[in-house]
Amino acid sequence: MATALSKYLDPKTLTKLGNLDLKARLIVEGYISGQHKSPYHGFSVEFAEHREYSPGDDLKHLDWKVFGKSDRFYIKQYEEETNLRSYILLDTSESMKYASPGNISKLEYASYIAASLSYLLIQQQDSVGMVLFDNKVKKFVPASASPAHLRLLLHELTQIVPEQRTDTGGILHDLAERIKRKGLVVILSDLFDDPEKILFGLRHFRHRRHEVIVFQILDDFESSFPFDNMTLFEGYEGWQELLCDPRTLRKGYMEEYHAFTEKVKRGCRNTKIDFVTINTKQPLDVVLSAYLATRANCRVK
Amino acid sequence: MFTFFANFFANPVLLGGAAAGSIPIVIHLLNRQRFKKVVWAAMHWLWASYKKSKRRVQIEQLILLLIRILLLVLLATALARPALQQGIGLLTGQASTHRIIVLDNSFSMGQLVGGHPLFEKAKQSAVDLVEKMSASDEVDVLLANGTVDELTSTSLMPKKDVLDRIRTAALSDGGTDIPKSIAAACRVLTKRNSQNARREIVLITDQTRAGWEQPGHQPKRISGDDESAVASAFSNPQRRPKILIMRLPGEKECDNLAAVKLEVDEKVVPARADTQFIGTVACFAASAQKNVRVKLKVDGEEVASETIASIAPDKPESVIFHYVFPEAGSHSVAMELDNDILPADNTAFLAVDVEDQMRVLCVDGQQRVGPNASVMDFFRQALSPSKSEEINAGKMPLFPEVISDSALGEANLDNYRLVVLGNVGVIPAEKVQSLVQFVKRGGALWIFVGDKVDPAIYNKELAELLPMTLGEKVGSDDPDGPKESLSDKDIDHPAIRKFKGIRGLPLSHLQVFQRMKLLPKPEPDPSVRTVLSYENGEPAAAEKTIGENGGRVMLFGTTVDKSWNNWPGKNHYMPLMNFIALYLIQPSYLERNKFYGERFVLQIPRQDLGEVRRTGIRLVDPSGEAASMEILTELSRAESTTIKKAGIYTAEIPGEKKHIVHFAANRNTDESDLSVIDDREILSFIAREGETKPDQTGYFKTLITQSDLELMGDDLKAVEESLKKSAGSREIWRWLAGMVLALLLVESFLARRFGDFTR
Repeated sequence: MATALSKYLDPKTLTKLGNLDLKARLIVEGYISGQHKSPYHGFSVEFAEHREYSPGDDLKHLDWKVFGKSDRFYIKQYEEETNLRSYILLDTSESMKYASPGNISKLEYASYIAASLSYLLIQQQDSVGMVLFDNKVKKFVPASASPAHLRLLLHELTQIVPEQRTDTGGILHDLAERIKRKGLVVILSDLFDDPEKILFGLRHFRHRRHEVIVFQILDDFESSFPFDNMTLFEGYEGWQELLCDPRTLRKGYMEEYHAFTEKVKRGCRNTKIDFVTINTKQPLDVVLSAYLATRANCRVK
Repeated sequence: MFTFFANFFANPVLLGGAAAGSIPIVIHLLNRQRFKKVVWAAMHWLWASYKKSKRRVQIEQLILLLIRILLLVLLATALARPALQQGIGLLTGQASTHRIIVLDNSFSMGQLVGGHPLFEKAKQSAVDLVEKMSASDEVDVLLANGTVDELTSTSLMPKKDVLDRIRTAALSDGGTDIPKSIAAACRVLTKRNSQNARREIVLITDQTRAGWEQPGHQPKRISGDDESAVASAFSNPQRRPKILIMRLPGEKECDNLAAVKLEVDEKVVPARADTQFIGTVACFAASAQKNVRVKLKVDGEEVASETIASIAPDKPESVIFHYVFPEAGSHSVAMELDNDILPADNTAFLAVDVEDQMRVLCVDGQQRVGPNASVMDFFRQALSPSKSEEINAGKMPLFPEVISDSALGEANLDNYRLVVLGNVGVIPAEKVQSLVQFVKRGGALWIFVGDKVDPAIYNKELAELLPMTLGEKVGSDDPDGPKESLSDKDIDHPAIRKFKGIRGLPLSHLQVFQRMKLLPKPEPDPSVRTVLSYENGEPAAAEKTIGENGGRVMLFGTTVDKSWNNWPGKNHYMPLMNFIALYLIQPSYLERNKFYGERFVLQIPRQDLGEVRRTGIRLVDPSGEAASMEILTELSRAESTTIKKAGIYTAEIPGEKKHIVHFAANRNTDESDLSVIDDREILSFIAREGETKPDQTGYFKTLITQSDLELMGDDLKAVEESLKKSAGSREIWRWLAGMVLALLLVESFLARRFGDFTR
């Protein structure tokens, strides 16, 4: 069973499946089946107050001890323990559409991550919200832990149409203001923006005492630039096209790529933000592992 | 424009390949047109990289483009084989040369200079020239002596072998024809088709006039195949060969006497009778030569000597020797002069066959009893005038035997040198064929007509033999009737030419009152000649040569006796009959006396043919070397190869009577004139540069101009300097090829470095 499910961690396999709900479930189940310990244990329900029984209430919640002492029916009310309030911030700008031949697009990959995280969180009765953004917030779904909420989230993920330029830095800044209650912020983006602005936005989250994990989603070609012959590069998000011999630019390109990544990574490290660069060829369990590591960190606090 | 490039490039056409230099640009432009499109997200990194490295990349691309263009242009230039003019001095090394050294080994090169033949000096010059050639040069050596012998079979022959061949080269007995020798060198240049850029012809000769002029001071000119060979070698303007003629000087005093020729007065040489030899000696000197001693040698023994009191320049003198051959057979005769500056031409040679008596078969068509009643009576007496033939036997060269026409069928023609038919009416068909074969083997046939001859039958039966068709009979049989005389004009035919000089014997005294017309045959035959004519211009006698062996047929349109003419009563009769009979009989030795460059021909008697064919004929030349002769069975003859040595040759003929025959080869003494022709005179017969009018008077017409040719003396250093200068240019293609290779390496390195192909 474990082997059968773990194959769904491969992004290419997932694309062959039908709805996102199923995909999310398979990712999580596939991941969990490979673990030694269940991530569900340790979560409990905490008593909040009593209220008088009224017809229609479920008898299993009657407090028989109070009835024995006072001969009155009281219903125990609980406050579910929300381990964490999580927000998944998904970049839906046009650049996320890119997919090198044989691979799935960055947006698709990010959607799988968002879906599987949402599934996992809701399964754990954590509340999860979702923000879809490009150069503005296109959708803000408040956090909730109800199973019906999962369907809403998954529905939103299937409705994404990437078409705008990105403004990741600005958006993070705005969202840091909007999400006041501290929690876990998961950012799924290629981060194709000014690194200073991005780091500024991230620091804002940290300022609001959020735990932040950044998944930089990149295509394999973007991190290796394997082009040979004369090529006309047509850019997304309004970038001017460029005709060049890629061999002559490869060195410079790779320098730019490493410089950018290094800068963001260093900035994140300084502000205790987890930064993970994901290649769309990689299995999805890497993401889940990274998430759970951060999640555990939150619980310790 | 083409000429301009032709001056600098051996293969200017290939220079067009320099256009290949545009290939990198074209590829670059094409590549800009042929690209793949990629929709790309990480444009900010790409643009940042582009902006940073744009200038560097442009410079790198430009460097690579220039290197590639330069590479292709240099490659095309190298293939075009450019040559730098001397004096540019940038590069060392000299263009490879294909040099033809033409060594004049004509016998005039045997003239003594300081006691040594000039040819030795010429050989040393050739050796020096070959020794100084570089390893990449190619050389051919030719010997010029009228014909041209190639000493080298390939221009790539090892230098040592070439030198050996030059050192062992010998003088020939031929003459020089300098224009022809240069044409032969051109032919070799074209044949070898060497790829070496420079082509040179160095002719080493003497300064004599004979190499450049024909007798009569007319320039020797190239024509036919020689002209084509020169035209072919000089057709390519950028590869015109340079001709340098080294003219080695002889002694200042170049007086030379030459034994021009030795002949016998009568072609047929009888045994035991006085034979008169006529020798001709020429003087090639500034002044007359006095008291010139001349010796006659027979079979190597001196038998007579004469002294010529004085021989003037350009006026050959004859000297007459008398000698009686005691017996028949083949003999060698030589006329010798005392030694002088040119020893080679001091001897003239002659091979003769001394005959016992030549039998003549006289076929009488109308034998009668009584003095001079038979047709052939007068003729027989004319050939053998004495009453007692026995006494005269051995004195007169011709021995007539008369038979009747009925006996002709049994006669063996091979025993006779001449067959005479006098008024023979009927000739058996098989005998006609025998007569044809007899003539084809070199025998002679003389036909007289008469009453018994039916022209229609003769024209039909003897059609192959008759020089002309017999026509109607004209005139009357009355001796006192109207007569026709022979013409005194046009008596140039060799059979009757002697009458020219005999006073009191005009041919017009010979008259006919009856004759058969001789009509030319409809189909022209170049061997048919009119021998005698009547005053009205109609032919009286005609001859024809049949077959390779020169058998002759003579036809007279009148009788051999006095039936139709008054000839037997005239003093002319006897000499006329003898002259013509001896003319018709072909001496067997004539074809064995030849000049250098010709071939000997030996007639083989039919009875010996089988044995000869079995054993072959071994011809021994004057130096004792043997060679075989080619036997042509059908023609009953044997032929030698081209004669390369002057002197007496011998051959042993197998057969019924094994015997030795002699052959004689003489030099053409035009070459004996050692007078000097100066450079100016030579140049006056060579076209000037740019002269395009056809000049038929020059040695080379307008194919070779004065700028192609240089006349030099014997100063070898000056010759070498001149060759260097005239060659003018140095090839630099190897240097360019090296640059191409270096650029190729640089390009590969830079392309790899700039392109960052590492992954």
